[in-house]
Amino acid sequence: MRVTFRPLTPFKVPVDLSPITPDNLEDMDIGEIRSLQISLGSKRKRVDEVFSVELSEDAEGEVAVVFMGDFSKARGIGSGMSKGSITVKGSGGLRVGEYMRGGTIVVEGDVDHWLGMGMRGGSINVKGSAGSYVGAPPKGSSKGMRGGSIMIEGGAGECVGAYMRDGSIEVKGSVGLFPGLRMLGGVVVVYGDCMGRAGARMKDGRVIILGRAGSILPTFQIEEVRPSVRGVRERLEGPFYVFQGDLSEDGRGRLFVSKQSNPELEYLEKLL
Amino acid sequence: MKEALLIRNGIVYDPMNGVEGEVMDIAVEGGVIVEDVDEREAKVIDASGMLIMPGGVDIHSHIAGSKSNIGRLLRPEDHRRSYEPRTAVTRSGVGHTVPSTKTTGYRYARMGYTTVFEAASPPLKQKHTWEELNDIPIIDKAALTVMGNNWFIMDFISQDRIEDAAIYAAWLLKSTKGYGIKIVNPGGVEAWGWGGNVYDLDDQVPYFGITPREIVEGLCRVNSILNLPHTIHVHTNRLGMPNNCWTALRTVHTIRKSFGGGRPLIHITHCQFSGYAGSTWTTLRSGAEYIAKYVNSIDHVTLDIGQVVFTDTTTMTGDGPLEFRLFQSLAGKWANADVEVETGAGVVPVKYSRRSYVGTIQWAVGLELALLIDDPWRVCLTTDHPNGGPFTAYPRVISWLMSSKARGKVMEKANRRALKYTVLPSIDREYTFTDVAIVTRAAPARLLGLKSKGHLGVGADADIAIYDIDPRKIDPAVDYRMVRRALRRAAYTIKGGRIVVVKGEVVEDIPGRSIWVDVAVPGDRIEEVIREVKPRFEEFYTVKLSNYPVPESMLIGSSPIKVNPSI
Repeated sequence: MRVTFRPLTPFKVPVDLSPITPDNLEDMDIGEIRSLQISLGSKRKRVDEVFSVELSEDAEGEVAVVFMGDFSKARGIGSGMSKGSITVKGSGGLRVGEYMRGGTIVVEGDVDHWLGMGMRGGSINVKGSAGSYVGAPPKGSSKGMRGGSIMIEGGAGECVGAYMRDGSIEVKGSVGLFPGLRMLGGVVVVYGDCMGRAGARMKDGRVIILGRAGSILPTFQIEEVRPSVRGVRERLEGPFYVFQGDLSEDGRGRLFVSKQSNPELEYLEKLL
Repeated sequence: MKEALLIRNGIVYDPMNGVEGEVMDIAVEGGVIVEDVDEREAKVIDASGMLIMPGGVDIHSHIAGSKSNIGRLLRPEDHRRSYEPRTAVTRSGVGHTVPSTKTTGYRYARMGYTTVFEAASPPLKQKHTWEELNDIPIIDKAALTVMGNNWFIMDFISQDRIEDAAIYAAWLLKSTKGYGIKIVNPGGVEAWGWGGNVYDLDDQVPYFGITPREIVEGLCRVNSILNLPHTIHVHTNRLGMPNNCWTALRTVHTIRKSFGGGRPLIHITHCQFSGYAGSTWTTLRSGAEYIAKYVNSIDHVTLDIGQVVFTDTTTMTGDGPLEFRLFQSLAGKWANADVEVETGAGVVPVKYSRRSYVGTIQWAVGLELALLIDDPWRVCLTTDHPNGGPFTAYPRVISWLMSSKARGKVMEKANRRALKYTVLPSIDREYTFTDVAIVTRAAPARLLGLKSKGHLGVGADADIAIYDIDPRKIDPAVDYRMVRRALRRAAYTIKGGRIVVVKGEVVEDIPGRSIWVDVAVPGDRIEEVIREVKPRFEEFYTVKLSNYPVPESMLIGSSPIKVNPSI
């Protein structure tokens, strides 16, 4: 089953798409899908007042939801989904894949903050770039990403993988400050540059930076130089400086920084 | 127009008037309970097969004030856990452990509670407290005033000028519209201003030449001079530390000499948190047995249990050092506040877990206190909202008290090692509906000195809770789930003669009343003391003395209780 949603007019106000997930749509017919209630700004609307809905039964297997158009005003695409797939042919908005448990989300454009917020499983692929707090918990909470994988082809903002406990985040582009803030497990791989302060207050887990590291916090201690490290799917060729940290916490975490891209860190080899 | 109401054939539990499960009619007119009304003009509620109790009275609950607000700011995740959408009559709100003001009122009303006492409000923050209390709908409310660490009170007591301390306390109560004397960790919060704490009753409070023992004794005498309706409301020293049950008992014991029969002298609040034996956290034991044994042997103390429920909650108390210690052991979030010259506060989110050794001990201590103390009139049911759990957990606590089967169910999943060091598994006492009516209504109302609350006699306020459960047909010890369900959502709540809740839904949003005590101390005596205090007051405080009092016009539904002190 394949359900396609096209907005009738471009969104001027935030629209909450959390009810439109493959789990919810699984046993619905076209009439039920059209009469689903969603929030558009402060108003409750029926789906067919906002979207033109198209249902094609020919595609076999799990539910595939397709959002066509610009969804940068949307919130909570794929909230809590556990199976099926969602494809966004355009931008994705805030909190894409929040509390996701399984299935796949593919976003062809950019997404805003809180991609994969409190995620537990499944996979997200963003072709564009993401905002801040990828895989982080919602404000105030300390329960971050606990499983699944996120792949961002572009860059990302600050605090990538904050409070992350398990799972993996890969960013092909550059990231802002504090990747792996207060991390408890899992792995963050940054293929581009980092603005600095990677792994602040991390207790456990791994942060790998292949580009420039920006800055190394004084609470990180160099351990060794390693020729290659285990990435998410393949081994990453280095060599890498391996730091133990954050020593203000338990210091079980590891920060890997590419030697080639960070020649200014060469003095640290004397400390080994 | 006087609205008349007739509630027919309900099964009434009114322990203050000795009514135990009799089928009766209750007539209401003009907001009070009357002998009889004209049946043709009255609105009739058919309550046959339903349980009727007076409206609930919560003696200790942190529902308003700057401390609650810090809790709200500190815990945005708490807002997402629980929210209530707007309806035709109610406003929306959020929060599980620190709900917004409107939601607080609705949730209390839904459980059949109609009177709630904000447990600790520093006089300086009382304007904020009243702003928030004004915003809480339906329920009647009052605020206890924190005095245990007030510099002027401590100065007067250390100079042995008890009568002047009493006059100052009366002025504080009158000018800030407080209800009673609350003492939080006497001396300890002041010591926390210097980074320390007091660890026993005879430790010196820095720079004041006074000990916690003297503060408690002094304020107890102040309380009896002023003839306040409530006793002193004490949060003991060393709260939340191992081996503190002895500190609590010594605090009670120290004022036994001034007891000459009659009314109790001291109320130990959230006693569960000061009921631990065992010298360290790993050897923590329940001290409820010792406290219960002592309380059963004397008459001058009352307490509320401060039951812990296994949930994620927010602790907030004026006891700054306690919260700092909690923060150190939990390494989560922490907020600290200092109220100049008066007290401090701290807020820390806590999760009580049944798997944890300490959590299980804490859970057991509260229930042991309630079950081992023979006289229910001296025990009040609280969770010290939100410290032990939100007030919405009261039905659950009641079901534990009423059914050993319900307790057993929890114990099955609780920490085994902890249960070995408690006596709870061997207690088979089960509360009856009368006992429940006492600990949730009659006893708090009597201890607070509220004459027109907590009973259904003629002349009492028409605050009535009707629950859809037939106590003659069900056995609460077995069907505790039904009791829980019924108590969670009252069939009807009647507040001041108005039906505010029907079938667990709020149907009318009315403002509650604001209760405070008006102590009639002669004006010249107050002037004398204030003249002496004023220069130092304006030196120490960042506010002027004239900006300090709360005007009565600020209170919605102000209803002062006149008190004649023996000065």
